[in-house]
Amino acid sequence: MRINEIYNTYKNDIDFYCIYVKEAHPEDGIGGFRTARNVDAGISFNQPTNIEERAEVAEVCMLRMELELPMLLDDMEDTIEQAYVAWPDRLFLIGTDGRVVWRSEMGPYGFNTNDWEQAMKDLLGSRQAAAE
Amino acid sequence: MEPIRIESFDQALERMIKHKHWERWNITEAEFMEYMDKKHARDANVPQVGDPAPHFKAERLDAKGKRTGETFRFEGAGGRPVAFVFGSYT
Repeated sequence: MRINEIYNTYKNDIDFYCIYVKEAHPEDGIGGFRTARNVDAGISFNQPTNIEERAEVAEVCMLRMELELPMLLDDMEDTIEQAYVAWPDRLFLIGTDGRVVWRSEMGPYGFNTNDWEQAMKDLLGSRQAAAE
Repeated sequence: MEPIRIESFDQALERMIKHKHWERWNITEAEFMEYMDKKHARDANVPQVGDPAPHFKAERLDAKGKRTGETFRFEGAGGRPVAFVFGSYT
């Protein structure tokens, strides 16, 4: 899985976190928002209405996708999701100064792991050059 | 499975309209357009390159995805860069 590959390549130099936000395609969403891909994979969940339910879906997700990254759970007010405008999915890279170095366009079409990895290479390369 | 590698919201929207994506979602064209308009408007508030990354706290899950009750705090500047993946299962 691509995200695990990137994580394992750069985890010695970069802290990684996967933040679990509200469901993108819940069964009870607009029009029964299922995607063909999810139906084929047998993935079907309603939008969790409390934090326990959200945590349960996150757990199933983490196990089935075999995500190795440290995982965080957004609250039911979607505080983090709103601050980062992250739904349905999005990638960020933050520098040591706490500022955004790179971010993807909105997912799923903007969820570009290759560009994310390139941003990591560039950032680590420039830090190394500055140190020399 | 069609490969997803499209750069902009507008390009994606164009493709979805061409393929009458609302039929796949089982909603009307008007509902689809309203939904996409809202999504687009929201996108204007995303943190941009150079902006301070918003600080937050969140509960950590363990390696098996179980709740830990432990709080993780992201408070900006630190010794190492930080990479975030935001997502959900569906």
